[in-house]
Amino acid sequence: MKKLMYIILIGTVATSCQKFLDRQPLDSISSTNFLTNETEIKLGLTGVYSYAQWNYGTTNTPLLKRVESATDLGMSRKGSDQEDLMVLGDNGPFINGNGITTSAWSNAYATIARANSFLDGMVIGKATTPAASYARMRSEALVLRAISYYYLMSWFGDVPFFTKPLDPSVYETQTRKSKSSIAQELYKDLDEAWAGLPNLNDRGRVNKGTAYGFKAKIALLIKDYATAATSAKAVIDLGAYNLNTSFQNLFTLAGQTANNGNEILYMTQLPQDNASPLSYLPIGLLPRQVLGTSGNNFPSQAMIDKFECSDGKRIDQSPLYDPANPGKNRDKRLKWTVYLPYDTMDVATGVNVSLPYQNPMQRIIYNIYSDTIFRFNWSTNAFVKVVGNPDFITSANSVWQYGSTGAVGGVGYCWRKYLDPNQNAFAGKQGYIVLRYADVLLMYAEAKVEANQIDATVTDAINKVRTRSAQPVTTLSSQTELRQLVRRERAVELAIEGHRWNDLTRWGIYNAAVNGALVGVAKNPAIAPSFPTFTTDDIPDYTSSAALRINPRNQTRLTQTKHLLWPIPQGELDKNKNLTQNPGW
Amino acid sequence: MFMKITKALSVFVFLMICSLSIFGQVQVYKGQVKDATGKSLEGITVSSLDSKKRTLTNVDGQFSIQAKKGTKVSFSGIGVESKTIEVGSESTINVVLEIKFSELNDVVVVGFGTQKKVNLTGSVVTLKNEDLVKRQVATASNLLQGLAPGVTVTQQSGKPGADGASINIRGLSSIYAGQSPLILIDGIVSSIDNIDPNAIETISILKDAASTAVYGARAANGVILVSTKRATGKGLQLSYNSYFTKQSLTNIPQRASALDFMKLSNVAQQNSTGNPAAFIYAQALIDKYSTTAPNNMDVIDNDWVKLLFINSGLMQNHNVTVNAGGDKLSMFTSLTFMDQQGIIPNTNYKRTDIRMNPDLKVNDKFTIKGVFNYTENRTTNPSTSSAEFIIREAIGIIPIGAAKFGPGMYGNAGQSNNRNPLAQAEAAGTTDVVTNSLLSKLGFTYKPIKNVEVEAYAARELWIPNTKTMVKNVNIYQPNVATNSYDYVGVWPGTNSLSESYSTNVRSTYLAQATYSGQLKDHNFKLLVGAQSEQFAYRGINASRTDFTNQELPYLNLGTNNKNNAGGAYETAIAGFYSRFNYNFREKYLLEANGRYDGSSRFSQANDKQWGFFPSASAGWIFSKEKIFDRLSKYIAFGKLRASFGSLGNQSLSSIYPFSANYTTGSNAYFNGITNTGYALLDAPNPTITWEKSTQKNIGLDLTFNKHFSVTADYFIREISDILLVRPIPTYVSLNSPYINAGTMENKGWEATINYKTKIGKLGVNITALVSDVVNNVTSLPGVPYLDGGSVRTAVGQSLFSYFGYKAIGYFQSDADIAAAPTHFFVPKPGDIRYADINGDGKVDANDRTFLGNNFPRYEYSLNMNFNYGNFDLSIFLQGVGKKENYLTGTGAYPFYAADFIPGLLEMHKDYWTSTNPNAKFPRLLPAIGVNGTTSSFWITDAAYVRLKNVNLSYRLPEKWMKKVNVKSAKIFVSGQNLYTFTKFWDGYDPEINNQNAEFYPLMKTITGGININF
Repeated sequence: MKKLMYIILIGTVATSCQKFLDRQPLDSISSTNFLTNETEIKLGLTGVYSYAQWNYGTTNTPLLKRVESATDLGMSRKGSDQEDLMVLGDNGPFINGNGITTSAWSNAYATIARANSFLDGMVIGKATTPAASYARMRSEALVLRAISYYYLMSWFGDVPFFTKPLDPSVYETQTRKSKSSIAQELYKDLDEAWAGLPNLNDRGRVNKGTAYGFKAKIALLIKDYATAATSAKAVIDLGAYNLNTSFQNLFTLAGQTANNGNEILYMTQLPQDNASPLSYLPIGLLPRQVLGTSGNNFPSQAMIDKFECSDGKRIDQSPLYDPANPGKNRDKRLKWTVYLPYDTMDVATGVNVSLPYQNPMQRIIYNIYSDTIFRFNWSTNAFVKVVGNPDFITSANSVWQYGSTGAVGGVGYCWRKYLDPNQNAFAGKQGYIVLRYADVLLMYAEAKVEANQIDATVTDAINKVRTRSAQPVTTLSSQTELRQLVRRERAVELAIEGHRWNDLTRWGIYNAAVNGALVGVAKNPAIAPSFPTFTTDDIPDYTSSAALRINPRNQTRLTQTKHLLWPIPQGELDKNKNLTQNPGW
Repeated sequence: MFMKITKALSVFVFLMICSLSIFGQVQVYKGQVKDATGKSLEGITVSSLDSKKRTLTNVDGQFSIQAKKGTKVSFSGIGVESKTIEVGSESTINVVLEIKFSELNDVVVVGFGTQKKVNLTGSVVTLKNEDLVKRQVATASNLLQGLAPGVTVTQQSGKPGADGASINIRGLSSIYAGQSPLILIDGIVSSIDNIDPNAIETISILKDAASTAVYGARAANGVILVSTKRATGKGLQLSYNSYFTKQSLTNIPQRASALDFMKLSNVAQQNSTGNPAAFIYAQALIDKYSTTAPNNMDVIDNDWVKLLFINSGLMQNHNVTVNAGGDKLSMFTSLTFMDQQGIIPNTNYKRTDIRMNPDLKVNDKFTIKGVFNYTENRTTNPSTSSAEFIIREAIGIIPIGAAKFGPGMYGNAGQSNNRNPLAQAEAAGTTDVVTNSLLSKLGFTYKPIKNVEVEAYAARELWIPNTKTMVKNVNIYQPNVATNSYDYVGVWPGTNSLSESYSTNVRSTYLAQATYSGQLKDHNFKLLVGAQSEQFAYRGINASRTDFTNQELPYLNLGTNNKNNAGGAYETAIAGFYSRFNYNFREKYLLEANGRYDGSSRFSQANDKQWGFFPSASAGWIFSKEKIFDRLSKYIAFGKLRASFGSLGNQSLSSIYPFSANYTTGSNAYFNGITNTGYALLDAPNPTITWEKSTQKNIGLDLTFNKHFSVTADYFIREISDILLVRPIPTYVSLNSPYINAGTMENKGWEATINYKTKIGKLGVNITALVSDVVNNVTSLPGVPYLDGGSVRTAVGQSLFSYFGYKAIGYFQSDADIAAAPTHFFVPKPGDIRYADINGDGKVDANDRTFLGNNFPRYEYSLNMNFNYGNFDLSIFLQGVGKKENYLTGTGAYPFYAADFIPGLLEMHKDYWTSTNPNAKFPRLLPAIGVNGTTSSFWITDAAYVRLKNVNLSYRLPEKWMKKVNVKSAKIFVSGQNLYTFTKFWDGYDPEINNQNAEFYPLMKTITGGININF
C-alpha cells in the first residue's frame, strides 16, 4: 500500500516535471509550426526570393556586372574595394579567396539552402493550399534553386549538389557532382516548374519563360544543344514574350516598370516604397568628373569595336567607319551602351538642388583630354568652361591612385547602359535583368547553329534582335559565319548584363579573348589610331595601333587555363576533406 | 525518461526511510557546551576518563554521556582549550570552553545547508562582512577581488552602473556556454551586483565539484553563495553608515598638440606617397599655429579628454540598518541609497535598496523566514553612442576640430559628419534605464522530531527594466573668420528620436528539503534530500518614434514619424533533485557523497536530452587527531587532507531553444517594385545536444600551526568534455552553425593561502597572502582545426582565445635590410615592422602566424594586511597578476587611426621610426596604420601588474565620548581604491582592461571618507 502511494506520488511528480520542462519558442515561428497554410507558404517563398537576389551582393552592386569586368568587354579600376582583387595582372582575373568568388559561392548556396528548407517544409501546408497555388509556389522555388546551380556550375564546374536540407551528420561529407548529372536533375525540376508556372507572373518573380530560359542555359553549358534549342523554342512558341521596341528602355526604371513586350522575363528589383536597399550600380559606372561619383567598371576598346557600323559590317570591313569619329554611323546600341569622349552626359545626382551645376541634374561634356571641361550652368542655361578635371589623362593632379576613368582607371570610355537620367545615381532603384527575351532568341540561334540545324527560324531569331536596333537583317547561312554573328550579337546586345564570362568559357575562347595588353582611346584626339585586325574568332588585335592608344593602369592581362574555373573557397576544402580544388588553384 | 525520474526518486525515498529508523543513546549526564560568547559548540569530544566512553556534541552543543558519579569527564575539540571536570550529583552539566582558533569552529554556508569548517572536505572559501565592507565600491563583484584564491575577478570598466567585475572560478571552463559561476543570494539565482554590500553577512565560494555538485546542472563554473544579514541577539540596534567618495581617472592616454599633429600628418603623407613635398596641412597654416595662441576661431587646439572629463565623479552611500531581535519575531531591516556620478557628463548610477529579513519563531519546532528586497537602479548614459565610444573619440579625435563655442553651440569636431563627442555627452540626449526589482522569499523550517529538519521555500524575483533612449539634435556652428562670429551650420544627428522598452522578468524558485543528522557512538552522519525547481519568464515590448517637434518632451505621443513597436517573450525552466550524505568517524575521518539529477528546458524533450546526473564524492582526514601526532601538537594544532572528485554540468547557452529552428523575419523581397515580407530559415537546429560536462578533481591541505600561521593549499584538475561548441561548418550548408557537443579541454591549477596573525604589545597584525595559478589547455576540437575569433584563436594544445598573429622582430632599418630579409606578404619600406619567418620557408606569409599568448591572468596574488592599534585599524590590500598579455589595437595603439572618425595623434606616437630614431616605440608614420596594423606580437604587451587596490584607515571613537551622546559605538574612516599601479603596460592604459582599442571607461581611483555609527 505504502509502496503504491509512493509510485503514485513519484508518477505525479515525474509527469508534471516533464510538462514543466517542455518549453517551446513563444515569439518566433519555428520549423515545426510554420508553412502550414497558403499565406505562410507565400511568406516562406518570399524568404527564398530574398536570398535569390544575391547577385546584388553586399555592396549593392550586381555581382554579374562585376564579373563582366574580368572579360574582354570591360575592366575594373584599381581600388581598395574587393574588385581590386579582380585586377588583371600576373595573378590573373581572380585569386583564391577573392571576394567575388567566395560571395558567389556562399550566396548561391544560401539560395539553395533556403529553397531546400522551403520545399521540404511546405509539405506541411499542402492539404490546406489550393493545388494550383501550391504548384506555382513550389515551381518558383525549383527555378530559383536551378538558377543558383546554373551559376555555380558555370563558374566552379562540378559542385556539391543537394536538394534536401542537410542533416548535421553529412555537412562535411558532400562531394562534387558532375555538371552533366546535375543538369539532368535540374531538367526535371524545370520541367515541373514549366507545368506549374504562369506565362506572366508579378514583376520580379519567375515565370514559364524563366524556367525554360534557364533550362536552355544549363543545356548550352553542357553542350546539350538539342535540349537548349527545344527549351528556347518552347519559350518563343509560347508567344507570351516579345522584344521591347526600345532597347534603352530596358535599363531605366520607367521602362522596366512598363516592360513593353514583356521582354524582361526575370530581374532582381529594388523597393520603390523604401529608401533602402538601393543600387550603387549607376555611380559605379560614372566618371569622376560627374561630381561625387567614383566609377569602378569601364568598357574596353574591344567592346567599342564589337559594334558594327550601321551597314551591318564590322568596322574593318565597313566604308562607313571613321576612325576620327568612331561614334558615327554605328550600331545604335553603341550609343546606349557606352559613352565616348565628347558625349554629353545627363546624370541625376541627388534631390538637393545645388546650383549652378546641379539641378539636381548634372550635364557635362565628357572629356579626358583637357583639364577644362564644359559643365551646364542651370542658372544661366548655358555650358560654361570649368577648370579641374579629375579624369584628365595627363593631369599632374590626377587622383589616379584612387582610380579614375581617363588614363588609368579605364581606357577612356564609360558605360551608359543602366544609367537612368531620371534616377538619382546615388540611390539607383532600377533593377538588374537576369533573363530577357533577346537572350532566349540568341540562345536558340546558338543552339541550332552549334547543332548545325540552320534554318529560317535561326536567322529569324537573330534578325529580330538586330532589327530592333535598326541593324540590317542577316542573310548569312554558313555555320562558321553565323556562329561569329551570334557571338558578336550577344556581346553588343547583352554587354554588362553578366553573360560574357559564361559565353566566352562556353565557347572555349576565354583565354584568347582576354589575354594580352589592354588599350584604349587615342592618346591624342588629333591622331586617330587605325582599326584593329580581327582573328577568325572575331577577336581584335591592336598591335598596329597600340602606340597611339592610352593604356590602363593594369596594362597586361595574363590568363591561364586555370582561370576558366574559379577556385573553390579554401575554407570549404579545409572543412570538407572530400572536396577537391579546381585544377591549377 | 519517466523511469529515470522514478528511479532517482525511489533512491531518495529509500534513503529517507532508512535514516528515520536510527535513534540516539541512553543518557545519564546531559548538558550543553558553549563558548565564552554563548555560542553552542558542535563536535566537541566528551569522554568519560573512567569508562572510556565518548560522544560528540551535536549542532546545538548538546551531549549526553554515561559516567560514574565522582569520575572525570573531559571536553576537547579543535581550536578550543580542553577542559576536564568532575561529575557530581547534578545531572545537567553546562560547560564553557575557551576558543583558541575561532575560524576552525566557524560554521560555513555550503550548498543547501551549513557545515563546520573543520569538517569540510571540499574546497570552500568564506568571506565575512567585515572583510567586504573595507572597500567602498558600487558593485559587490569588486569586493571579491583578491580575497579568495582561484577566483579571478577582473574589472573591465569604471562606468557607473556597469563597473562590475567579471568573475571566473578556476579558469575558463567553456567556450560558448556560460563561464560565470552560479550566484545565489539567499538561495535565489541572482547577479552579485544586485546586492547592496551593506546587507551581506557572508559569502561562500564553492570551488570544487564536491562542494558544488548539489547544484549539478549549473555548477560547472563554481558557485557563490551570498547570505544576507538576519537579526541577531535581543533588542533594538540601529546603525548608520555613510561615505563620500571622490573618483578620478586611473589612467588615460595623452593627445599630441595641434601643431605636432599637423606636422606629423604631413610626415605621414610624405611617407605614404613617397613625395617629400606632399602635405595635408600647408606650411602657412602650421606657421600660424606656431605663432598664434588658440582662439577657437581660426586656431583651434582642443584637448578633448580635458573637455570631456568634467563631471564630478562623486559617489555617496547612505545606509541605515535596524536589527530588531525579539523572542518570537526578529527582523533585520536595511535601507541604502547610493549615488555614483561618472566623470564624463551624463554618466551616473543611483540605487535605492530596501530590505527586510524577518524571522518568526512560531514555536520551538517551527520557524518562518522571509526575505523582502526592493531595489531601484537608475543608470544614465549618453544615447547617441556608448560612453566608451565617446571616450575613444575624445582620445582619438583631431585636435584642430572645433568643440564648443558657447552654451549649446557645438563645433563639427573636424568631422565630415559633424559628430562631436562633447555634444554627444552633454547635449545629444541620454539613455536612462530604470530597473525596479522586487525579491520576495518566504520559507519555513520545521523540526518535527529530534534530528530531523524540514525546510521549504518559495521565492519570486521580479525585475522590470525600463529603458528610455532619447536622441536629441544639437546645433552645430562653424567659425566665420571674416565676421569673427559663428555661423549656424545645421543640426546633428539630424533626426531626433525616442525609443522606450519595458520588460518584465520573473524568476520563480521552489525548494523543499529534509535533513536528518544522527550519531551512533563515534559515527556521525547527516543526510540531506531535496528537490528544487526554477522557471524564468521574459516578456517585453518596445516602441519608438522620430521627429519630435519639442525634443525636451521625451514622450512617445509627441513623435511624428517612424512609429515602430515590437514585443516578445521567452521562458526557461530547470528542475532538480539532490541529495548529500555526510559521514564522519570521531570527526577524524570525513566522507561526503553528493548527487544531483537535473533537467533543463534548453534541451530537447522529444530526444530525451534534458536530464543529467551529476555525482561527486569527497573525503577528508584530520591527521592532527591521530595519536601519532600528539607529540607534534605543540606545533601543529590542526591538519587536514582533503580529496574530492565529481562531475558537473553546464547548460547556460545564449540560445534559449537550441533544439528548434526558427524562421527569421526581415528576409524581404521586392516584387512589382514594392517590399514583400518574407521569412527564412537561417539557423541549423541540433535537437541532439545536451549538457556540457565538467569533471573535477581536487586535493587540498589545511594546516594550522600553533601560534601564528595557517596554510591552505589546493591542487585541481578540471576536465571539460562534450563542450557545447559552435563548430564552423562548410559555407554551402548556408545555415548558422548549430551547437554540438564536441571537444575537450582542461584547467589545471593550484591555490595557496597563508595567514599570519600575531599581537605585538597593543599592535594586532593579521596578514593573508594568496597565490594561485590556472592554465587552460584545449585538448580536442573534433572536426575543426581551430576556432577563429579575429585576433584570437582557439586551437588544440593552446589556451582558449589565444592571440594569433605574426611575430614582430623589430623594424626594417634600411633598403638593404629589406633586400636581405625573407619576402614579406607586403612590400616593406624602412620603418615598417618586420616579422619572423617561423616556418623558415624564406617568405613571411599567413603560414608564419603563431600563438602569442593570451589575456587570462596567471599567477594571481594578493596581500591583505590588517593592523590594529588601540582604536585604530589599518588595512592595506595589494593585488597583482604575475603574467598576462594584453593586445592594443585601433585608436588606442595606432597613430592616425580610427575606423569611424577622422583621427588625431597621441603624444606617445611622437616616438616614431626614422633613420635617426631606429629603436622608436612606433613604426614609421602613415596616414592610417596600414600593414603595420596586422595582428602581431608588436601590439601585444606584458600586462602583469601589482596594484595597491585598497588602503583603509579607521578610528573607533572612544566609548566614553560616545556614552555622552547615547551612541554605542562610532567609527570614522578614510580609504582609497586603486591608488597606485606598478606595471610595464602602456602608459595611459589600464592593464586590468583587456583588448584595448581606447574604447573603454577608465577604472577609477577613489578616495573615500565615511562614518559608521551604532546606536
